[in-house]
Amino acid sequence: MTANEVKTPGTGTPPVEEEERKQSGTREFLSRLAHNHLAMFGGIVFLIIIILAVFADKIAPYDYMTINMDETYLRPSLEHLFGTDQYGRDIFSRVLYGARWSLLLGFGSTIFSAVFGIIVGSIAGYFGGVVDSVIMRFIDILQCIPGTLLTVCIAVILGSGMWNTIFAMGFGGIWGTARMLRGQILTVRGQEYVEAAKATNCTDFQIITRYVLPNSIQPIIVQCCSHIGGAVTQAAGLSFLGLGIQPPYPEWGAMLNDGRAYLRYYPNMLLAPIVMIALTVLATTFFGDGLRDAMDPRLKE
Amino acid sequence: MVRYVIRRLLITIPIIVAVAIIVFTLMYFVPGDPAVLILGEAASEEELAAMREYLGINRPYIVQLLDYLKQLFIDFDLGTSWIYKTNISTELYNRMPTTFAICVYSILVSACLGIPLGVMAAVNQDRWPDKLVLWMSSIFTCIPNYCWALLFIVVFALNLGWFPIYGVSQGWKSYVLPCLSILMGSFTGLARQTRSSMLEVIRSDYVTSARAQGYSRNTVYYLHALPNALIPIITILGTQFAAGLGGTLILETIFSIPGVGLYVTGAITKRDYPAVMGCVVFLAILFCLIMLGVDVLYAVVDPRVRAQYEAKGAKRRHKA
Repeated sequence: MTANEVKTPGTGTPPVEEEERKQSGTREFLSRLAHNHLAMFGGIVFLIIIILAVFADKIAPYDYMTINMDETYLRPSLEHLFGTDQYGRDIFSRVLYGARWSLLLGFGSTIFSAVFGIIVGSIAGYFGGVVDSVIMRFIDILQCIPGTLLTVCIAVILGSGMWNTIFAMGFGGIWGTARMLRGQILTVRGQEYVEAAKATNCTDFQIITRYVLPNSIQPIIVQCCSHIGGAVTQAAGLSFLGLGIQPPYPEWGAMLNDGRAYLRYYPNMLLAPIVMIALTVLATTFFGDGLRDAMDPRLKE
Repeated sequence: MVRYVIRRLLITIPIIVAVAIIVFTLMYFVPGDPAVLILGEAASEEELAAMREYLGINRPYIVQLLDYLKQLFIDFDLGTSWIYKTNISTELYNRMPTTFAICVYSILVSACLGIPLGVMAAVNQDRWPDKLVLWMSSIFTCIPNYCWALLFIVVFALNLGWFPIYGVSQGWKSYVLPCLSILMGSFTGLARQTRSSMLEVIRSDYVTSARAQGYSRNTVYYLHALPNALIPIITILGTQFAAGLGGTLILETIFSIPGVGLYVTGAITKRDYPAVMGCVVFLAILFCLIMLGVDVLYAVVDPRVRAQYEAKGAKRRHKA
């Protein structure tokens, strides 16, 4: 595979084929991804979870909030696939609706930390000097605070709710992303095309967005894909502690917290959210690893 | 080396001061009046004013901040909890051994299991032991530790009755389930890291030549190759340990373990700001020390790193 990777600049390829070569790079990337069965499996499972979340209101047989005191603590059956909880709510429907909250939190916080991480990282990496030192020392300091603790503190300060939780989780993730991107940019910054762009009087903003970022952002994207699973886990952990999403909303962590009181007699209340969390993390990890290998086959273990 | 450690310790001081400032500022700007939280909604205005005076929260931000820093770094006192009225340092001193025990046990077992598994996987690359380790690590790490904890409680505590459900009153038995919950993710992650860093050294010439000299497979793998692959493994162990100290919040809540994590969670939910700040500063100091320990360990296990430090020291002496 590495043999196909080698570009052939010296073998007399006419510049006309530049466009074609770029396209074949993408095609090659896609074909490498398609040949990675684990990655495809992960991607498909993740896609199914997303579809379940988006169409939860069409798929779910029951409403997630309707209390039915005649049908509490039911064992799994054909009518209630995963049984019912202490208020007689259908656990299968709740898990489906829960996917909405869990995935929104996962995606939201990942995107939040990616966007701000990219801004901070590119400022530090591109400008260097004093700006870089100040930003990096600040990151050093923040990374001394245990991550979970920082997130929990911010979540408490801001209060529960979706946007606050996204901010609390995203805030912790900014700094790792920024540090990584800065490292990437440092290797790109000295390249000739950046020099050339400077010579043609491009503004700093143009240079960063058009020349520096496209050449350094790949690992960040890959990292984000693998990070979504971790973010879902973290969100569920926060809701489990009573922060994050509060009952009656069926976020997976909140469902775990609900079911915890009944785990002696009704462990089936816990199993569904645990399976969903595990599946999501597994799928995103496989897909993320596959993306990484497809983008840069040399990294493959 | 000693000079390096001293210098690192000196750098740690401003970092900790900065952490204290950041946490204090975060806590200062939390909406809500602490006096109301302590006395309840029914308290009269005079009582509230007296409480504010007593807590010292009616002074300007900068005065409070400097006062807190003085208390931390000159008197070496983490302060007094608002809710429990106890000294935070004593509280942490009493609770630390429990949290520490859980982290140390789980890290030790994780190293004893994870490293040999990783070596086994690397040696048998692409054969069944390798595939087994990779699959195991994918599946075990995708279930977060609090989910493992709940599953273990259902299976081992409630159905089989082997271990207690909560508390630490039953000696070693109480530590099994919390440690196991941490272990499931950590040893498989460690095995994965060991595998990939062993794969990098196992094809080296010195491994081949040691084999050619007639040393047995295991001698070569464990005494020649593994020491050269240790650095990334130590890094992972260090981060897992540090994460364990600060991240057992949820586990300690599930098992009602009277450790630091449970204290922090309680303090955070009751808005006991001095306790939260004290814990964060304390854990940040621990974190810096662990990272320093990891760097020192690099030099202990790898003569190349040691040589670097010695060369630097020699150069500095030479200049002087």
